[in-house]
Amino acid sequence: MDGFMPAIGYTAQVLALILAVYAIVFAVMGARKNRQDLILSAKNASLGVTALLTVAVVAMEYLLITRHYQTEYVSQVTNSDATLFFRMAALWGSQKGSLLFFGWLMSIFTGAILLNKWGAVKTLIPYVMAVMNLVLVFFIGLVVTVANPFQQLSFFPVDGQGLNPLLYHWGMVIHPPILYIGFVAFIVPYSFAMAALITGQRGDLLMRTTRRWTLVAWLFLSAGLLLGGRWAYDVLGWGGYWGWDPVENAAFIPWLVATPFLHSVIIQENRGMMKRWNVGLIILTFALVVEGTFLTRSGVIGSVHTFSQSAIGPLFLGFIAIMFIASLVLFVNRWELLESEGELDSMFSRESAFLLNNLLFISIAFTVWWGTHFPIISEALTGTKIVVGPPFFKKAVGPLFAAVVLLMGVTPLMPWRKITSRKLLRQLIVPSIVAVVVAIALPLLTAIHFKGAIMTLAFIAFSAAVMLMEYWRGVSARRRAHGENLFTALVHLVRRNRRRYGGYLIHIGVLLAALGIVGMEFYQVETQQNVALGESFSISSPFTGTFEMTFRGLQQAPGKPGVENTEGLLDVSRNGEFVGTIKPYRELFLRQQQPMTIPDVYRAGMTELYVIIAGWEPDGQSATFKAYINPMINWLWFGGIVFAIGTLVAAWPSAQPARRTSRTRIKEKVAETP
Amino acid sequence: MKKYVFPLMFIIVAAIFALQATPTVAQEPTEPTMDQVNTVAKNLNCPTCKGLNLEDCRTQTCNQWRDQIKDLLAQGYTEQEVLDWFVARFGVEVLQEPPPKGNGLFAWLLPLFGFAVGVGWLVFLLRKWSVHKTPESSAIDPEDNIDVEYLEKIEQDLKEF
Repeated sequence: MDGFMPAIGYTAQVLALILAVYAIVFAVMGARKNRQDLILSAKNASLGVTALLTVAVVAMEYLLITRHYQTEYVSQVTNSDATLFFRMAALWGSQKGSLLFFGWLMSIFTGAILLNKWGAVKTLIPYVMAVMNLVLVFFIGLVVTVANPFQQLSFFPVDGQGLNPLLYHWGMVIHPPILYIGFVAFIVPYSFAMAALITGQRGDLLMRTTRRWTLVAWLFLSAGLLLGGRWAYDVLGWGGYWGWDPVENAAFIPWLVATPFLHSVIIQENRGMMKRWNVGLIILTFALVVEGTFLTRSGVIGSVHTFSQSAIGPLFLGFIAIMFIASLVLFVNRWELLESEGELDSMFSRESAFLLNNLLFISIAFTVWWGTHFPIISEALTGTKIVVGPPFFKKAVGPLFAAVVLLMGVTPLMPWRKITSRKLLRQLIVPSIVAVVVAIALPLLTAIHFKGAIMTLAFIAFSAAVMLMEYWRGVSARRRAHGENLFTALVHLVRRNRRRYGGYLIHIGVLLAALGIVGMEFYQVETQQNVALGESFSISSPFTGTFEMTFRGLQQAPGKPGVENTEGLLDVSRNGEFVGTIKPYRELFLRQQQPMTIPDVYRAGMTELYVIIAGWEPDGQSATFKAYINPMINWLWFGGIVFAIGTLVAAWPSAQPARRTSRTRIKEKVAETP
Repeated sequence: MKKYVFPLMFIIVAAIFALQATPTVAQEPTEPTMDQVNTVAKNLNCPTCKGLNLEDCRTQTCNQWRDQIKDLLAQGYTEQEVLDWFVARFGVEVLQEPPPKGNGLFAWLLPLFGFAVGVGWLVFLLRKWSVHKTPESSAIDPEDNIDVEYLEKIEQDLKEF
């Protein structure tokens, strides 16, 4: 059996490649000649791709679980110490396996699309199928040729090398699949948009139909980013959640383009405007997804030199170029078709607020993209590499994000078409008062004195006030009209316009998370101290007072197999009062001789004392610790959860066939009346 | 807001120079603390690992670099002088933040330029769209536009109707 598995897996990949090509050819032919039998055949072939890639993944999992070290990939990512859980997760632990995994997830989306009933946009499906399989051909092609995970070694190694120690963490196990799902799911809006361009449809209907898929893709991408941040915070031991690392940015940039799309598509639905722009954003998002995969998989950003070593690099780059150019050619060809129907009535309207939202997000996306690529660009053009680290990103995009926070509050106050400046001013009164009160009270009552922090917190207060007011207005209107109690009114309100109130909930989540970001960016404090046994060191923050930590010794602790754990014991007292013991530890992966410093935290409400052990004398008589006070950090995680719930509320499929708005109900009533 | 980055940076740089210009009275040969070393290390890249700064990296090479910073600080170097010392030996590549001069300037300028283009484009679009007004009706979802209270009242009336 063992000898056959690699052959089964590889054969499945090859057959999947052939079927994918078949599906493209027959789908296009069927659509051109309008022959349902050909289209059906293409559909079956496409479902066959999904099935065959599933076989390949199962074969790979079998090899990983049974430790078939003769398979080169297995010997790279597992070893005799790896538990079942980490052997299974090793599928996405390194390049070749993760490419197979990526292709497989994408094929699942293709399958799901084909099994769905599409009603009005059914005519698009053959082209959607062709575009999806075209992308799949590239990924399957990679694992069949240059990145075959079933490659066999000429000998049978006694043991494997094992996963990169960084990856031994639950967060690392669920973070990549979630991020990948977010990535691959964008193939749905992309291929629908391409199909609409090919067939010359205007795409309004399609935006509605694929909206939920886009929202789901966006949810997974957001969750993947948040989990990545949590993993960094829990494992990397540098006291933060986001390092503006190229790999992190690669996942963030598509998110920064997809987010304005989710907003501007609302303008298209309501006003028939921004059609070109929206199609452009979809193409850009998916191109950035593929480019992001390329960046994270090829290591090109680390240095241009790794680029030439990897056979995948040039292929990826070629594919991105072809895909992007083909999309653009189609896009330009259909330019006239996508002409805007509506017109702007006033500067003071939701349309113009959404335009501003788009401008801000695209500027942020461009800045992050530019900063991420600048090292390679500067090295390629001038020979000297100029590194662009976190300080650049913080300075360059921080103010733009603050503006986004403010805009989040202003936009809901602006109705479509226009609002008189007098009415707008009246709407602005309450939230503005809240913001001004916050801006005045903060420096008087708390230790918050940085202007940037005060301004951002005032913006957050402004937008939060608007969101709560929107909820309150809706709830009280329902209570008056239907005599419902507070809770029922809230439930009915959200249920009747889930997209709107789910959207507001997402915004509330973002605002809560922003509290954590403000706390960390402006008020994180840190200290590094060497202390002897029994000695103490302290760290203070105006938000929590002084923490004093006394070094009680080192001890070996039971850890994962093949890992030596050394714990440093610290008694913690807060403002002179003992509050507990924390045990930051260092894991030493014996095989790789790679150390990991795992922090321990003491929670004081939403703020955390975060400590790592940086080193020690061999005799254990003294050790070096690094401590951080992370103000309001837990708001970030809490906000993330609210954000995810909001997205679920907005994206959850409704029981009714389509959203029955008051408008349709009014129309129905009017039609009924004689 | 971004246009303030440069003036702000200018002020910061000027302030740093001003601080340097103040006479350093009695350079006491006290040993620099780890926190002082970290403050400087934060601005430098780890020479071996990608994407990490020198403060957070725990490799041997980074320890040596941090010791180097400590030595220089002990000799009375200021933070900027230490950074210059590293740049002189290893190139601008060691800095976490691209220097706002030479080629590093492009890192800062292009996003600014992009933002300016974006603003220009937005203004152009807003003007273009609001120039020729034709009475057209596009369907706007009432629930997205009309006051909720008003809408509830309509619903109520409809029910009675």
